[in-house]
Amino acid sequence: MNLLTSHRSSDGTALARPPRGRPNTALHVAGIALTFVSAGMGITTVVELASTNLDTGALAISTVVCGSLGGLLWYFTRAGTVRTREVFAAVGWTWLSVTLIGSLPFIIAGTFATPGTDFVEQVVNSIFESASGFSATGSTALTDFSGHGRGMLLYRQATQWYGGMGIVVLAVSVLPFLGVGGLDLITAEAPGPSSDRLAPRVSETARQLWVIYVLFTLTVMAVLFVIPGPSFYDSVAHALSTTSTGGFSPYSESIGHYDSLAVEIAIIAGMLYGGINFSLHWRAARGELTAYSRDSELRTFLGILLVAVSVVVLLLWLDSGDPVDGLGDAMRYGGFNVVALGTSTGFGNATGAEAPGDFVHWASGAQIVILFLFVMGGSTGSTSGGIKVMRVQVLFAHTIRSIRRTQQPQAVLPVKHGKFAVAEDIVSRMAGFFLLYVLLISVGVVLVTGLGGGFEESIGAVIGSLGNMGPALGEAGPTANFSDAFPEPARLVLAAFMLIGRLEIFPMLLMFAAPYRVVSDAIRR
Amino acid sequence: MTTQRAPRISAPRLELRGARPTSYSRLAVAEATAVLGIVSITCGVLGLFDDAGDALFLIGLGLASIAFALLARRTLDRTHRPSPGRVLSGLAFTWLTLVVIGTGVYLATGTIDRVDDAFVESAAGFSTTSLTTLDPSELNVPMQLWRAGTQWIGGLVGIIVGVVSLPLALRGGMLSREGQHARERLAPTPVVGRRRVMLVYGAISTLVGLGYVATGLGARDSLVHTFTTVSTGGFSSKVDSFAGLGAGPRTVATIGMAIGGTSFIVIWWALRGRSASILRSTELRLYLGILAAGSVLLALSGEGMSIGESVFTTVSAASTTGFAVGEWTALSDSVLMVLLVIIGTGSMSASAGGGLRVLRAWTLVGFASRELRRQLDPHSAAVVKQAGEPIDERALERTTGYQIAHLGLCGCAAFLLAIAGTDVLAALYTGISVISTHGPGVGPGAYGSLESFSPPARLLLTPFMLAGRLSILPLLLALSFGFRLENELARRVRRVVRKVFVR
Repeated sequence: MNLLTSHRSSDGTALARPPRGRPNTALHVAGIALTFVSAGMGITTVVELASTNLDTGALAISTVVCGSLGGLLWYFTRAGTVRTREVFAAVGWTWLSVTLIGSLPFIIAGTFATPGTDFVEQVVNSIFESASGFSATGSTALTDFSGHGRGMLLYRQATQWYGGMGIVVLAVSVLPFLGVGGLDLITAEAPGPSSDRLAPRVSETARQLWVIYVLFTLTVMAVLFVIPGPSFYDSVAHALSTTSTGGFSPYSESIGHYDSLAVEIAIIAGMLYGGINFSLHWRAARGELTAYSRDSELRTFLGILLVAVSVVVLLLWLDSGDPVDGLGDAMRYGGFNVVALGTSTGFGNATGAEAPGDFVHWASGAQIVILFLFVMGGSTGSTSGGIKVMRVQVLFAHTIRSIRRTQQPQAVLPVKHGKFAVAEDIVSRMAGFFLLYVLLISVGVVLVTGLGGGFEESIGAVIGSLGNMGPALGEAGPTANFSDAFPEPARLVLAAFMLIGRLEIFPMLLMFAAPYRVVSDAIRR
Repeated sequence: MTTQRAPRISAPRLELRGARPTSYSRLAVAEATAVLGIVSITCGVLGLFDDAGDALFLIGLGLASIAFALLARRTLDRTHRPSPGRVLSGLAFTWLTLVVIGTGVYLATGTIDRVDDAFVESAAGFSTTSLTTLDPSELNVPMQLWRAGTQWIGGLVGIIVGVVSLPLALRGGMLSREGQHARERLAPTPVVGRRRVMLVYGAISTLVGLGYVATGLGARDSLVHTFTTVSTGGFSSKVDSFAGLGAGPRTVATIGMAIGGTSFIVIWWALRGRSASILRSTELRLYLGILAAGSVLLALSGEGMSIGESVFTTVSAASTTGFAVGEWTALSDSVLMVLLVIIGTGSMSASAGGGLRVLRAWTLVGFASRELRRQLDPHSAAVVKQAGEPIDERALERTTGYQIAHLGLCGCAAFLLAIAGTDVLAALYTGISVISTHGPGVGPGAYGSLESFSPPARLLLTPFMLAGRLSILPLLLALSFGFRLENELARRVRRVVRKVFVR
């Protein structure tokens, strides 16, 4: 790994310059990520200044703080060793720092300063909103959407856009000499069990991913703009949270604000595209259109969504107690919400509380289907959350094998995904991931109920936060907000779960391994 | 150099005159009906003074069951070792037979009018799930005793599955090597194992019964609660379970339930005076730890529970019995969640209780922790250990598969209940509670009444009761056998159709 850069002396002789800064991959990557986030803050500051001019100061100060901090970290450190410990530390600390610094605009602007809210609660709500944004979850603590500047609301949307593809992927795209460690960084952050290398160089892979992502965002934006209803601002805002499968909206009614079937269909298409593995999009963009049809995970994902839509539509149509009226409404509201939650976007099309799209008032069976989608999530390598369809497939095959093994103890029974046998250590890792996931849900629900959350709300919110869904069940449904449904400490727990879920558990649990090693070595010395 | 081949000595074949080839299902049914017969006769004789009609019916049923069992045993050849699939599907078949007989008893005695309700009540009894469609205080003595007796049989089946059948079916590869050795010593052959289990189970039940009588509980109530305590059943002769009973019976019940949830291997060690083995048992330490932690949490939760009530409720949840000392509507959401975790974890393996089992849960935690460590060092050869010894990878593989199936079944139960009209929370809670063979919870309430469930929802619970009682694998294997039979049938039909068309 050549980290030395050369320059020429006055007499033209090439000299080797020692590398700048201390080697610390975690701080270096965090610095780059913060710099990129500050660029986004800067753009939204300009938007705020040119439009409502309510929160310009807050956004400008945050831009300066975030940019300075990021720039300093970037300048005074350099990428060091990229061993497993450092990879997890880099990814974990980057996300934590971006979430905390990303909450600054909300804190300074007093976005959550409603009557009866003290400063601590404002800070908690700001961190919650920032975590929900960067993890592309979509849960909100915001109660009043009308009293904020357009730039501030656009910043809120942009946090999801950054989080969707991954800020570490963005950082890696400008780190040309990170080698294999760079792919490890992408893999540790990217949703799903593995990350495909799209180009020989890791930074090129990261760049390709972001190019697809940007083009996809522009397409969604253009489509939404063409459809009657959303303004240019709305199109940009919703494009940012559709492609990232985030689910934030500048309106409290989310997509229900437009009450337009055309907008909903466009959003459904965008969410589905975002829920599919980006390496398939990349192959399709290079002319390999059969990549979609050949992918076993995609076929299963679409099959599950189709079955879920059919079951929910049938239940809504047959259940007279629902707010949904008739087959047409059942298809519209059932279809939209199943795709929104199946891709872990979390948009809602309810026009208000207890309106047809408010799924917490649907039949219980439909809500259980939704809860299953909360857990499942979308494809690997997509922007969506959950445990991912590939893991569901492999774990299902693993369970069937366990049963068959009882009958044929000596048989060689490989677990297959599509046509290929999955390596035993991958199966084991996936089973371990699933068990940790279940363990975290149990611990999370105990914690959140212990901190004062309702039972139904806590189950929905913990599963939803870990799967980066957005809305939960009960009082924390698609038309409600989390500040009314959960007390402050519970919101912090949920924010932590969003980050744990976004990074697929391991980086957040292992981010302390490298510092722990440093401390324990120091103590030993 | 020439070698001389040694003469082959063939093992003498044991053949019984007139015996049919092995059928584990028939054998298991024969033994289960024999026990059912004894319990029915006991209940009938004790209930003669109250309702002679029902009592005589039960005596008749008992005699018929014993006659059938004797006849079946005479015609069966037990020299062959059955395949794992046959053992497990045989268990499922036995349980279904018992439930069908139980349904017939409820209908024939007029205790329940509806077939579906009778089926649910019978399934709840034999699966030791504390859910009921009846008001126990309205039942006559013989039926009250017989209903409790079904749970006693269910508990016995649970222990035999854990101590004899599963080790026989899985042929080693158990999670705990120490436990495996102990099982082999407790049950050197299936017949000896079953006999020992029955003797010890009967003896403990008698002691608990005497405890109830000593604390001043009436003869009928003592007998009913004796049947349903060690079996971790949870049926009571009172509508409000233990709420109206004094501290004495509660203490006896707490001890009885705790023993019911304890591994039979540990009990066997205790009877043999092997205190060192008992102290070394990781699962026992964890089980006692759960009981202690749960009791302290409940006592400190500020729900107005005394220490005795907290211990009682925790033991009832951990052993998956389902007795209650008060309605759960007063409990906070966090306490309900803690109880759900305890119920889901369940009792020790090879006990009469249900749930995931403490040993499995602990192994899964170890497995998840190993995978977490492997993230840091993917090439490390880390092993999961139990009592200092590494666990076989295949046993681990089976346990993780089992766990996923367990969770999948909980999800299926919740989905089906929700479709049948149960609200989301009650569906989720009941799904987990029923598969753990506990029963009560959010929805049915602390006393396990199924009144709030629609008839289809009640009926939907029965396969999950079976899955919980027989440790899921038998149910899944029975299903796979069903699929295989279906495939075989379809193949034969296709062959016939092809022949017809070719001709």
